[in-house]
Amino acid sequence: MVPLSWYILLGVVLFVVGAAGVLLRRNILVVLMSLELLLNSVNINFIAFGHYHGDLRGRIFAIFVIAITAAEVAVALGILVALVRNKSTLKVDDVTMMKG
Amino acid sequence: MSAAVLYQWVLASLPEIVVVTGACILLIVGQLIRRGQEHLIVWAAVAVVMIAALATFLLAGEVRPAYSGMFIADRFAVFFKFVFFLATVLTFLLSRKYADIEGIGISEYYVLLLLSLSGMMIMASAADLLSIYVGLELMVLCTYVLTGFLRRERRSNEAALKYVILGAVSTGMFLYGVSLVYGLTGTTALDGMAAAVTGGPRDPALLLAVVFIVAGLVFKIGAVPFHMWLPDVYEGAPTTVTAFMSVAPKAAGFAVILRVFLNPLVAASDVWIIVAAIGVVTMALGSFAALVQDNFKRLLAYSSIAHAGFAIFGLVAGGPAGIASVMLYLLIYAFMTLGIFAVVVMMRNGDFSGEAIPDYAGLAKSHPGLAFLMLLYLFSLAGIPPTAGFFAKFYVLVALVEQGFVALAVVAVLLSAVAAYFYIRIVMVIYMRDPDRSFDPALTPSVRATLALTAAGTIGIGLFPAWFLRLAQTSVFGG
Repeated sequence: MVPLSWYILLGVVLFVVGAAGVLLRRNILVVLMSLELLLNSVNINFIAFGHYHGDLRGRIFAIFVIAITAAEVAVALGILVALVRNKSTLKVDDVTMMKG
Repeated sequence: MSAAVLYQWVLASLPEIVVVTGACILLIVGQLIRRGQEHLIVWAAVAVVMIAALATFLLAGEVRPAYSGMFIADRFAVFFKFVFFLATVLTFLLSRKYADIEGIGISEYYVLLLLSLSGMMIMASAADLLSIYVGLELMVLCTYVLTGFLRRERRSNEAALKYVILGAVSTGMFLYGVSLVYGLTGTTALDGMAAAVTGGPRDPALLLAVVFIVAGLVFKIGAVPFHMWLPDVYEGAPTTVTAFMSVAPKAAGFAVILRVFLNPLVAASDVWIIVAAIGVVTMALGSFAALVQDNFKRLLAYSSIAHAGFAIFGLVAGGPAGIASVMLYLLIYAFMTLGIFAVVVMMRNGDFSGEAIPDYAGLAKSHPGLAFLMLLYLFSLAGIPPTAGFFAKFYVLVALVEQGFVALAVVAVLLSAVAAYFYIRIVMVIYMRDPDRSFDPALTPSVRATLALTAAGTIGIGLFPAWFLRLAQTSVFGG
C-alpha cells in the first residue's frame, strides 16, 4: 500500500516542473507541454485524495479537468497555428511585439 | 430523482439553458445567412439575451438551489447576471459596424460572445468549486478565441497566445488550491467546506489552499501580481472584445470571489491581510503605469487594473455593506467603461485607428456632443461628483471606514487622485488642443443607442445613488 504522502509529493514535483517549464522555456510548444504537466499534477492530487476519502467526487473532478484541458489545448494550438501563419517562429521572444 | 425535482432544477437554470440553446441555434443558422444579411444575427443574439434576461427577472422571486447543491439561483446571482446581460447587449450593439470594418462580422463572433455569457452566468450561480471551474473555463475559452479573432493581425495573435498560456497557468493554480481544499475537507461544495474542516482556520495547509484559489481568481480580475497579461491582451484584442472583457469577465471574477469570501471558512482565516495588500499594490500599479501610456486601449487597461484594486478594498471591508459596495461599483463601472469604449470603437473608421490619445486632439471643435460624452465618462472614471463614479468610490470608502480601516481609505483616496490626472489629461487633449485632422466617427444608430444608455446610466446612478445601493444591499441579503 503506497501512502498518501507519496502521491502528494509526486503532485508537488509535477506542479513545480510544469511551472518552471512555463516560466523558463522559450519554445511555445514546450511551454504548452509544461502546462499539461501542471494540470495533470492536479489530477493526481484529486484522484489520490478521492481514494483517501473513499469518495467519488475526486475522480469526477479529474475527468472534468481532463476534458476541459483538452479543449483548452485545442484552442491554444489553434491560436498558435494562426500565429505561425503570420510569422513562422516558435520562439517566445520573436513573437513579442507589445511592451510596457 | 422525480420529474418534479428535475422540473424545478431546469426552472432554476432556465436563463442559462436559453442562452446556450440560443447560441447553438445561431451557430447553425449563421451558416445559412447570405452576405449582407449579417444584421439579422445581431438582432437574433440580442433577442436571445433579452429572453434570458426576462427569464432571470421572472424567476428572481425566490432562492432556487439546483443540481444537488452545484448551482443556486439567488438574488446575488441575479444582480450579477443583469450586469453581464447589460455588457453583452451593449457589446452586440457596438459590434455591428466595427466588425464590418475589421472583417470579423461572421456569426461565430456573436455565438462566442453568447457562450462566454453563459459561462459567466454559471459562475455567478455556482455553489460548488466544480461548477465554478466549469463556468470559468467556458467563459475564458471563448474570450481566448475572441481575443485572437483578428487572425491576420499579429498583435491579436500575440495577445491571444499570451492570454491562453497565462490563463492556463492561473487555472492550474486555482485547481491546485481546489484539490488541496478537497483533500483537507473531503468536499468541494462551498457551504459544506466550513462544516467539514478539522484543523481550525489557522491551519497552514488550509491557508495555502486558500492562497492558491485566490491567486487563480485574482488573475481573472487582473490584479497584481497577475496583471501582466492585461495591457497586452486589451491592446491586441478587437476593441469591442476589449470593451466586453473589461466589464463582464471582471464582474464574473468578482462574483466568484465574493461567493468564496462569503464562506465563513475563508472569512475566519487571515487571508484578508493578503487581499488588502493586493488591493493597495494593484491600485498603485494601475494608477502610476497609466500615467505614461499613449495608447488609449492600453491606458484603459491600466485604468481597469486600478478600478479592480479599488473594488478589492470593498472586499477587504467585508460584511453586507462591503459586498454591496463592490456590487454597486461593478454596475457603475460597467456603464462608464462601456461608454468610453463605445467612443473608441466608433472612432475606428477608414484608415483612422482611434487608438493613440494625441489623435483625439481638438475633438471638441468639430463634435462638441461627442466630446461632452467623453468628458462625462472620463469624469465618472476619475470619480468626480455628480457622476456615478464618485458614488461607486464613496460607498466603498464608507464601508472601509465603518469597519475601521481608516488608513486603507486614506491610501485609496490618494491613489484615486493620481488616477484622476490621466483621465483629465485626455479631457485636456480633447478640449484645449487644435485639431490636426478631421474626424469621421462611425456613428450608427445602434452606437448612438449604446452611448445614450451608458450616459443615462452614468448620470442616473449619480443622481439616485441611494436607490441603486438599496438594490445591491437587498441582493446581498436575499441569500
